[in-house]
Amino acid sequence: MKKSVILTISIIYILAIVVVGFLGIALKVYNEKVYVEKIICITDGYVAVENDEYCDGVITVQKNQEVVIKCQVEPDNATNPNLRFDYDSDELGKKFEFVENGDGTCTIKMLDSGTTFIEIVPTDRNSNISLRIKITCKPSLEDILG
Amino acid sequence: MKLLKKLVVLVLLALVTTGCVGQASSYRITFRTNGGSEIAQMEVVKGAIPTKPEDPEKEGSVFVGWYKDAELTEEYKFDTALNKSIIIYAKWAELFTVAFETNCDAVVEPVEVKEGEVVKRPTVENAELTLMGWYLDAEFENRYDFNSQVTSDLTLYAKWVDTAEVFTVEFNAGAGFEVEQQNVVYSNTATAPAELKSTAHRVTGWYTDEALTQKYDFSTEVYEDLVLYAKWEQYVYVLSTSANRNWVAYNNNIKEQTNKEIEYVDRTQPYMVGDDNGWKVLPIYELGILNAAGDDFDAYTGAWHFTYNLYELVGGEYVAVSEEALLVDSFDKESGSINFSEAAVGKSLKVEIVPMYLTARQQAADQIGKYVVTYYCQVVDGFNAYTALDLAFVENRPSDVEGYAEWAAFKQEHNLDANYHPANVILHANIKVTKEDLPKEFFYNEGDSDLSPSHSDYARTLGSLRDYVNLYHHHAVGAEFGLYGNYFNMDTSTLPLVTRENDNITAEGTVISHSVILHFNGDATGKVNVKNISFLGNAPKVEEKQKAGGLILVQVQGPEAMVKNTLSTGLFIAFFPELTKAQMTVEDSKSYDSFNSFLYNWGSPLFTVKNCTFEGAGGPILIQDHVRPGEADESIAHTEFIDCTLDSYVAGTEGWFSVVNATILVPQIKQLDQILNAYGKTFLTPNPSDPSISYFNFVSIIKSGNAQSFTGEKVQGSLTYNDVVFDFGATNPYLQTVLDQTFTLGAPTFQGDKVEGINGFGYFNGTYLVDAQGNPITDPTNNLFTGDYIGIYYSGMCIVFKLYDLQA
Repeated sequence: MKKSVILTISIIYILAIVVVGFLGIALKVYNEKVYVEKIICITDGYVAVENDEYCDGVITVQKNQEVVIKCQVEPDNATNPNLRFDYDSDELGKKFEFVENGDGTCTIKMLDSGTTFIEIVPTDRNSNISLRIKITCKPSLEDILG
Repeated sequence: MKLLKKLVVLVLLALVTTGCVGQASSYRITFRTNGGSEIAQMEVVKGAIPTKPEDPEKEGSVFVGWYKDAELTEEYKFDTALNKSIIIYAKWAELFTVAFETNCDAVVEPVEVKEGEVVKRPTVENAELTLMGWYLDAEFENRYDFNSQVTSDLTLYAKWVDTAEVFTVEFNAGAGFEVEQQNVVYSNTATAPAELKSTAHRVTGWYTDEALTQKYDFSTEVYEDLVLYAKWEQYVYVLSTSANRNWVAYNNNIKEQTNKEIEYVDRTQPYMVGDDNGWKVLPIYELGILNAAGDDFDAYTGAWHFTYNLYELVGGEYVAVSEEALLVDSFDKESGSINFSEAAVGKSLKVEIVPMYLTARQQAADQIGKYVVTYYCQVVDGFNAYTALDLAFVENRPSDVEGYAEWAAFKQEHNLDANYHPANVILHANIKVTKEDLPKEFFYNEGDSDLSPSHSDYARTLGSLRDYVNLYHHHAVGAEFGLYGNYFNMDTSTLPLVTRENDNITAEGTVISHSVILHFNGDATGKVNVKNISFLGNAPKVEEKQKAGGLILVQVQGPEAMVKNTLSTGLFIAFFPELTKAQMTVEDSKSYDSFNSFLYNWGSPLFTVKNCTFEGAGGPILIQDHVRPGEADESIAHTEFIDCTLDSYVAGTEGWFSVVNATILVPQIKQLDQILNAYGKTFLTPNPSDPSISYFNFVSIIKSGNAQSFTGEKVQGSLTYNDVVFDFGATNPYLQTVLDQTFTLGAPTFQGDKVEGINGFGYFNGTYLVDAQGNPITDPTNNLFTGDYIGIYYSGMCIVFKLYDLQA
């Protein structure tokens, strides 16, 4: 250090009023977080539903049929566009199989007739934004009546 | 001449006649009785209302009334004054005789009935016989309908049957239904009852045997008493059940998360349920009915019934609980709401919700698990909240506190019991709080006396939140209160910002909010807990200065407070002990992305922050003020960090710096880094994508509440990082010595977080750092540089940064 910092600070102080006071405000020098605002399912066979208390859309499958659930988020520049797939863990292995594919998609296979729900949630924060998909495998007469 | 006399006579007659007419003083009513007894003409004084004469009489007829026309279409009522002489006409109705042949000892006298009217059914009793009806003929072939009009003389014949020839048909419906018994005469037929239907079943037939093998045909003539049994068959089926959405959300929230920001520190807390009201455990279910072809199910919408099985955790195992244990006050089989009793408080329970009316196949051991939904909980004294309106029960401000009247009116408007103050409020869903969930007076509304369209800020202020508003104020004295989140969210991210500071018109972007989401007031005899909840605020870390009008999350003034296992994002300030002398602890919590600071300690001496993570404030992680220094009521603050992760990097251009006018100080602060660089240390970290931009990990700033900027006054208060105290020399004579240099020379003093005796701090004398004895510090292994944090005392403030090795 060659010069007194105190002196330097005094000089910088004047400059700061000019430089930081204008440029600092005008330019973003850090990245503000952009949160996910909407999730859209682009899986074939997905049917959006409105005014349903329990889900935003339905995918109908056959027993043991695998379906890959793929979604997009808006806005495109979301800081953390990753998604989490929530499900009822009590039903895992009994009613369905679930694999998170690591590429932002998941694969689900209904092991039996019935219905389960996959809720897709942004991982950027505990947001109330989500997309809830009903995966339904219609039971046969035998399943119910024997 | 004769002709002339005739003319004179005619003129005189005309004059006499005309004069008589013009001077008439009464009118005449002439009665045409149409065959009835005569009625004399009636003279009526001009302008008088005539009096109705006695009715005429006519053999075999009944007088009906007087009519204005011969066709008898318009009735004359003797209720208006006459203005001319009139003729009125009598209307007659025939009178018919209805005679009754009782065919027994009883006698029923004949009755006369006006034409067109009905005859009343006579009452006649016979001790030995049952009256089956009246007939128009003695052979009982034409049953008389007593609703029919009489148009001629009649004779009606009573038909009696022996009681023994009347048979009863009883219906045994079962399933809680009752069907009225029928009396059926010998050889007649019974009538099939109306369709019976319950939630899932309906009657598909009636059978003569309990085994339901002999179906009854209702066209069969009855010759004996019968008991018929209903055959119920299921017609609606449960196709599937799933745990309800809130339960799934809870389970997912407590899982390990890929994004650690949304992973709770403690994921083991039990799911809590209050005993004041019902816990909604209704599963999601799908119903179906057989289609017309009977080969598939069609979707069916309707309510369903459930029952429950209850188990208590005893010695690590769930043991079935009998009804006699009285742990449940009520269970609504349709809404699936279970209301625990006080006896259940403190117990850990397992609740199985079982759909009713499953088929035999579905109830098989290998199938039933598909339909039973299981929940676990721990019962506490409190209220279960599902909506933002339910959060009104957090609110209990005393009547002399601002906002009381507004909340009282709001509760009345929404049928919320203003006198109900639960011991705890427990969340059971992600709850989003909107303006509509709060008293409207908390916001600027059209027509408010202090808001006019002529105001320069009208557009941005209309609808905005007022300053110094406590959305929920809980007064804790002599009692403990908890807001328990069950890992759910409380989302206030869409609530409006404050645009007027202290209700004064404020230039855009300069307002600093003082409005609070959860304000806890009272004294040290009270305690409040906020646990296992994720908060979303409306003021993330941005350059947009308007976000300084955002919400403070938790402000405590008086009671002991424990905030534990929470997540908070986007708050103006997360936790704010304000002149509170009781212990306030924030533990196992994480805060991210807040506009201002995460922690603001305003003169509170017992503020402990333990095992927490703070990342991404727009300013320092902690701001601490020494309040009213030197005055009689000065309040010296102390904050202790224990095992916390403090990573909050700022560049100095965040909105907070602008709002508090600190932007211009950033270069000065960064300049101080050069002093440390000589020892291979730095508190600045470059932006990897743009090295010209540097950040500092801004941990805290301690200042005086009187000083909004650097000040020459000696500030008190202290900050502890684990075992290291930054306290302006209050406890360390060496630090006191070097701080004296700061105030006499204006030189910044530095302190590391591994102080040991004289080793660990020094001041800058203009050329280099010196220790408390004036000796230059040349050793880069001095404790000043070996810790994780560096505190810089400068002009009455203490600023603490994270310390790093200087990279080549």
